[in-house]
Order: sequence, then structure tokens, then C-alpha cells
Amino acid sequence: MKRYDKQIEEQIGETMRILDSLPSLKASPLFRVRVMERIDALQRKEFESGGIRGGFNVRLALGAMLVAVNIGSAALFFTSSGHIGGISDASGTIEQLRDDYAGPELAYYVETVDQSGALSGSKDNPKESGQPRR
Amino acid sequence: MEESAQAAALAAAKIGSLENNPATSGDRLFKALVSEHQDMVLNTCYRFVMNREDAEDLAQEVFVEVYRSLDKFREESKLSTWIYRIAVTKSLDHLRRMKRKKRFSSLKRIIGIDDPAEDLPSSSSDNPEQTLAEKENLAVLQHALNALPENQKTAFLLSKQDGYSNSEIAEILQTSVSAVESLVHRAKKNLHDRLHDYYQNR
Repeated sequence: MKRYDKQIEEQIGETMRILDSLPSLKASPLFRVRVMERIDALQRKEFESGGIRGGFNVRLALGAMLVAVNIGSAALFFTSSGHIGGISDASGTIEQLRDDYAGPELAYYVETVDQSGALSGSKDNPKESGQPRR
Repeated sequence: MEESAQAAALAAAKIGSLENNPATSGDRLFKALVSEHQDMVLNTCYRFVMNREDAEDLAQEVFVEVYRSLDKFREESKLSTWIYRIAVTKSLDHLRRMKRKKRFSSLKRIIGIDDPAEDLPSSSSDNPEQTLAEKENLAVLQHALNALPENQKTAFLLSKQDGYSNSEIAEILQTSVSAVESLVHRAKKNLHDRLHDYYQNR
């Protein structure tokens, strides 16, 4: 609903007068005490957080972590070298197996000795005898 | 006591008190400083927040900040001006926080979570009708003030408070006296226009 300008101006004046009529406050007698309490609490808090910071040095912790990582890497490297040794052991085992199973008793073809004393395969295995396949 | 000398003595004594005995002359000087400026700081905060409890809480915060930052005080302005500047900054921060809170509470209302404390009536007067009208006018004024740019609002509210000259307001706002006059004039005009719009469309 539209209102008359005069009425509106009166209302504006009334509203603006609120600011002029705001009372002048007096601080409570305990105001200073409360301020000092807050300051004391703040100082205590700062002191405590300082104590925690002193006890747990972030830089020191990071340094220790770095050293631990380095030691871990080194340990890992040496363990890997051990693996290489393991690999050489494995090749020895394979060699031994080859010797064991490469004997004539386990061969799937028959080795014969000709008159000249040279070894040659049977007719069943032309590749071993060195003859071309027909 | 000369204000800058008082500030220097306070800063030195404060450092001493932190290192040695808390009950030193620094504390006594600080208490004297609080006693001297507490009413002015309290009323400055009250103009901004228009609520006694909040104003008292803010005024306490102001003095805690003064205590903490005393060694950072450069004697470019008077100690009292520096304290009142802190009071203005704290009050504006409080208003910003309240604005954010209000936005959040309207969001809560939209999604259906109401804060029952917001609906509690205040019983400051015996006449409920008058109380309601006063409350409404105050809310309208606060809304119009909060819509003003911060420098206009600050200049206008400080000009309304006894004890601040235009030159002191200029020092607090770190501007010139003519700029303060212009800010106050524009603030009045803006407020009038906003209130006019409100009452016309109501």
C-alpha cells in the first residue's frame, strides 16, 4: 500500500531518532577484571601451545623421518644385492639339473659309437646323426 | 601523561611482565589505560552492534587486542585514535560475522532446521505494542545501516557519537576531514532513500 510522503517522512525521522536516543553506556565495574582474565587466559594458552611446540619440534621430526627413509632405502638396496646372489645360486642349480638329466640313460634317443669311435644318433633321429632329413 | 610516552612505557613494561613478574608497572599502566578508554570503546561498539552484551564483549576483545599489539603501535597517531580504530575494526568484523550467520540461518530455515533461540521475545518494555514497534524500527534502521558501504557507515555512526570530532573520525578512518564530511552526507542521503523505499513499499 502506498503511503503519503509526509507520513513516510515522519516515520523516517522517528527511525533515525533511534540513533540519537541510544543511551550512553557505562562499562560494568567488572569490565577491567574481565579484560585481565581474558589476557591471562590468552597468555596461558600461548604458553601451553609454546610448550607443545617445544616438545614436538616439527623440523626435528621431519629430519628423523628423512633419516629413516634413507636407512630404509639403503636396506632395500642391500637386500636386492642378496637377490642377485640368489640368482647366481639358481643358475648353479639349473646347471646341476642339466648335468643330471642330460645323461645317456635319460636320453630319448639311442647313442651309438661307430667304428671310428665318434658318437652318432640312431636312424630314428636323423638330426642327431647329422644326416639331412629325407 | 603524554600518550606516546604512555604507549612506549606500556610496551616496554609488557615485555618485562611477560618475562618476569606479571604484577609489574606494565599491568598497572594497562589498567589505567582501560579505565580511561573503556566507556568510549564500549559506546563505539554499541553504536555499531546496538546490543549491550555484544558491545561489552567486543570492547573486551578490543582491549585484549590492544594489549597484544601494543608493541606494534607506531606513533603515527594518538594512542586513543589507535584504540578507537581497533574498536571500529572489531565492530565491523562482528557485523560481517553476523551477516554470514544470518545468511546461514536463513538457509537453515529453508532446509527446515530452525534455531529456537532466534524466536525468543525480548521483554524490555511493559507495553508489548510499543516494544514491537521499537523493535521493528530498530531492525529497519539496522538493515538500512548494514546496506551502507563500510566507510559511510563508520563515518556516520562515529559522527552520531558524542566525543568524536570530524578530525578524530578522519584520523580513525585515515582520511581527510572533508572526506569525512562527504561520507557522512552521503550516508545520511543513502539511509533516507533506503528508509523511504522501505516505508513506501510496506
